[in-house]
Amino acid sequence: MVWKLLAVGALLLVLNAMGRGAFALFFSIQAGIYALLALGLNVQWGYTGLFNVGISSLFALGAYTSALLTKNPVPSPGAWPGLGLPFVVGLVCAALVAALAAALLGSATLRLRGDYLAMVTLGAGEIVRLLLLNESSLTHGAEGLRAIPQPLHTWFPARDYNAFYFVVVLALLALTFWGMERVLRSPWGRALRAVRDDEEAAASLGKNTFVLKFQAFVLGAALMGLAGALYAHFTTFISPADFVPLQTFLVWMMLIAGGSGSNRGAVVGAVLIWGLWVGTSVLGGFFPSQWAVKFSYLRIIAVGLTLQWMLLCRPKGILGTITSPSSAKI
Amino acid sequence: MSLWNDFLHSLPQLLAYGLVNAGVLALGAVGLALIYRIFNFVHFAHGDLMTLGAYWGFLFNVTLRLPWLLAFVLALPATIVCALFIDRTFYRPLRRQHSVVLLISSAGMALVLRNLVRLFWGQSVRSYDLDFHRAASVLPGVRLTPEELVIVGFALATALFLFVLLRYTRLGKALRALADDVDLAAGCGVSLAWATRWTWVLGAGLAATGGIVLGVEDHLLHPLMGWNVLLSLFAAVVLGGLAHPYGALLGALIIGISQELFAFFLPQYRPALALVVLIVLLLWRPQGLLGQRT
Amino acid sequence: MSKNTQFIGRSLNRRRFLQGLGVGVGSALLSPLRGLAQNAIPLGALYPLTGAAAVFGPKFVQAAQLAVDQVNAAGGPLGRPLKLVVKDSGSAPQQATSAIQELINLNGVPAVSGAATSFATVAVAPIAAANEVVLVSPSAATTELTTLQDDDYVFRTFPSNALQGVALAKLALQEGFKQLSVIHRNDSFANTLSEALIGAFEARGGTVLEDVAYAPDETSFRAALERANRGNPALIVPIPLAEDGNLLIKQAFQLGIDTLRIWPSSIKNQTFVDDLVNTLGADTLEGVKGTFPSTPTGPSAQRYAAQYEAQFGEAPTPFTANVYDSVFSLALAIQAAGEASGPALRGALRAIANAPGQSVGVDEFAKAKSTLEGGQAVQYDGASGPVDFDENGDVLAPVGVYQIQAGQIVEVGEISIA
Repeated sequence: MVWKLLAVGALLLVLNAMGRGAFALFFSIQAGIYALLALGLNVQWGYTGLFNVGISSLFALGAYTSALLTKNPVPSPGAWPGLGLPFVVGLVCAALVAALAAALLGSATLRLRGDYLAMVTLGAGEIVRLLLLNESSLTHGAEGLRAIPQPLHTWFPARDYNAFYFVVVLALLALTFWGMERVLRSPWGRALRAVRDDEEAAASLGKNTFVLKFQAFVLGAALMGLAGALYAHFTTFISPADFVPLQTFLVWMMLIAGGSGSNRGAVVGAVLIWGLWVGTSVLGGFFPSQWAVKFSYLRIIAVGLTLQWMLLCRPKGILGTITSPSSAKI
Repeated sequence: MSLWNDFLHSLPQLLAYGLVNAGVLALGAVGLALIYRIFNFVHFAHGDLMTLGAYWGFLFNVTLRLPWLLAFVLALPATIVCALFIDRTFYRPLRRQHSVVLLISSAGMALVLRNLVRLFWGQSVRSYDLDFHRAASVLPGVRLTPEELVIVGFALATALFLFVLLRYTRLGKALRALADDVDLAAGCGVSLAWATRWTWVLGAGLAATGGIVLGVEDHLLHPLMGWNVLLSLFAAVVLGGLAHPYGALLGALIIGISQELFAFFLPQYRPALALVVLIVLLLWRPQGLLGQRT
Repeated sequence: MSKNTQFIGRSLNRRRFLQGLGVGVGSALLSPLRGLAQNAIPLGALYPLTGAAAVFGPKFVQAAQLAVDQVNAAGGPLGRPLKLVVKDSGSAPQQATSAIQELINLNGVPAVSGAATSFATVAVAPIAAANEVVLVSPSAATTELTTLQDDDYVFRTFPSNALQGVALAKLALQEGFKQLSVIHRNDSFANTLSEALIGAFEARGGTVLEDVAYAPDETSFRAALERANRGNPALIVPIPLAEDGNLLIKQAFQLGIDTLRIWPSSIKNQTFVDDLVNTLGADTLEGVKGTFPSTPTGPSAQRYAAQYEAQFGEAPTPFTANVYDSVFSLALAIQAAGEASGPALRGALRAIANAPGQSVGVDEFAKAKSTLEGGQAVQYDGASGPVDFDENGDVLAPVGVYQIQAGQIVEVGEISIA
């Protein structure tokens, strides 16, 4: 898988050198960021069966942390000051902050069954968005953060910068993928899957299910925070309105499409779903502008219905192997 | 003129607003609780079902120019039909699955419903064809618009209706039996298909009513109106506990009033209260106020 | 059964991977081909078709198209037709940033007219600057654009809030208000206008009681209104965009708060007023005044109004003149620069807009073209004013006062900024 990623990466760089790659690079960077999100969700849900409805808020926390830490402390007038720390520090802290938030939330709620975790992660997502919006003394509120610095920006001419950033994203993605594969095959990974398949049985075998779930939740969150940081430095402008439930949805779909439990599936699913998403957007560009708006709603409806279809036709894509009986009453 | 003094001064008004808020929440929470008790999954699309109901009302009231009472009454079966269709097509095949799968499916439905509303009616705010009234003094220190008064009355009527339904009708008894023990109830001759249908009739009907009430109270409709109250509905349902049929009503009352009181100090963080309540409850007393620890 | 599903799953997976890859590579190869049919020059247009300022969007598209049609009727800049590529700047900055990325990367535009709202413009400006694409906003008023580090790629044909803020303050004082409170939307436009207003009001001896901000997507203003009403100010100045403004004023009415009597330019829109009059009655709004960058009365502006009306059957709505100017001046710049590229346009914009040069106005592209081809300079005098870009890319404009009389917006004079 890693080799496939690198091969595709090389192809895109060649295209860019030929002057044709701008859009493909742009697309691939975003797909890579979403692939990271999907890998994070895979740890939480694919391995451990934890249902996270608040992915976009972890994404947002990572983005804001990195942005605030790396922005210029003496900015141009009107821009928000940051701490001016290096890019790498921003990335690491983004992952840490997201992990911390997950730890806080998880410590309170991971003892309870999945439905409750879903409700609470939904709520937490809402609260994070409100915090980012209202604590303007920290986050500059609705006006957002702009002029987020891009690493080594001055080394490359404007047109070629994306190629460099793509390499950064690809490298981090490949590294994460390799790491998560190792985790999957480790004893810890097996324990997580035992918890996912049948928590009671795992507990009766002496596993501390709470600690395992907690660790998985936090690790997944760290990956999501990292993705957020990469996003912030790519778009150079973030605001609370950038982080919406639709993103959470797309990430679920990516994992379901690829087959959850599989890291490879996470990455493939991310490319696929993001490809379909962007492809339909490009399609919408052919319509006159008034219709384009309606078309954008149709796209989202198509996303939702595709999710339903996937659930109905590919139950294996949801949770690897589920052995616990259904608890439905009817 | 300190903040605390202001608060005490406004207390009667805030309590009144709280009752109105509770009325809206009650309509959604009861339906949500019912669906959870019978089908055992958290219906993430419930808020957007309320939105759908509100917009059906808009279609009948504004687009088709029907008088508001007729329009609102018609919106109910329209929403119920939609809900039954959704259940039949998307939820029923998944009923044997893990409840998380249904949760995902309903979250997906939420997205679909919300964007169907946007597709047909756009993202901008709409409003019903109703007269605009200023708030009038109903009690010392309390000013409410006539719509708000009606809503409070409505919520009380719903509570009464529910009471009568569950206690005295065949449907109510069947639902209570099903909620307790499916196999026993089925063994006693309760038709599962019939009960499924009626659960959705009640659940979606109440949701549609809640959506319309919300649209009337705020004098505006927008695609996120239902989604925005979903968290509060969850809190209300969990607070009330699922064991007792009136739990959701009690939960809605408490959440509704405390949200308004809390919003006086931190208006931007209104939903935060619901989350805090939810987390505290889940840690301390997950069966809710009225439930028994199983 | 499970084996089959798995098998199908795996081959489905592979096929779809290849499909996804195909989409990516295909669009990469196709992208440069778009927008270059028939040698046309693509010009980006980023207007609010949805979102808080959506009431202005479609009219902006019309005005932009009018400019493009007139320029093309005269042969187009450098003999090539202009092609307007319209995208929605949406209700949140992310939509605008995605849209401008598409315009730049997919359509290859050298310049963009837009965004209309301040929050969107501030978001897309750095992206335009980084990609060496010229941005000319027709209506963003935020003071942030003046000081933005944009490598001189960002211009606007609309005056900054710094002017409007002073005007609002002076209007309030003129109307006899010594105290006021402000209730404003929490975004770049309203925050900076509120700051300018408060600064100017206090500097002239007035007192500001409360300054309340509400979230951009807020729909329930009760708490904010009650907060703004503390101390019972005689005047509450609302600074919203059209959509929230609609709700704000209605809810103020419901609460019995009648003091929202001085309005900014963002809600100077007859459709907006019509809806309020419909719901609340004309007498609730009678006498409300507001400020706006005033409409010039010269021949160029009159020509614009006449032609807009002839083409679209209605009088031009506010700020469409500024839209026209943004597009027309870009066309002139392309002609003057001799190429359709961002860096060249950046230099040429001031040359064609400011003195010295032969004066050209609305719909005089043919005249401008021949003057420029003859080696002479031109000076554009537009539909919204003289359109002279200063060193920050800003324009100056006199500020007018409007009033609502019997449910109609009437322009009643000017107010000096001194």
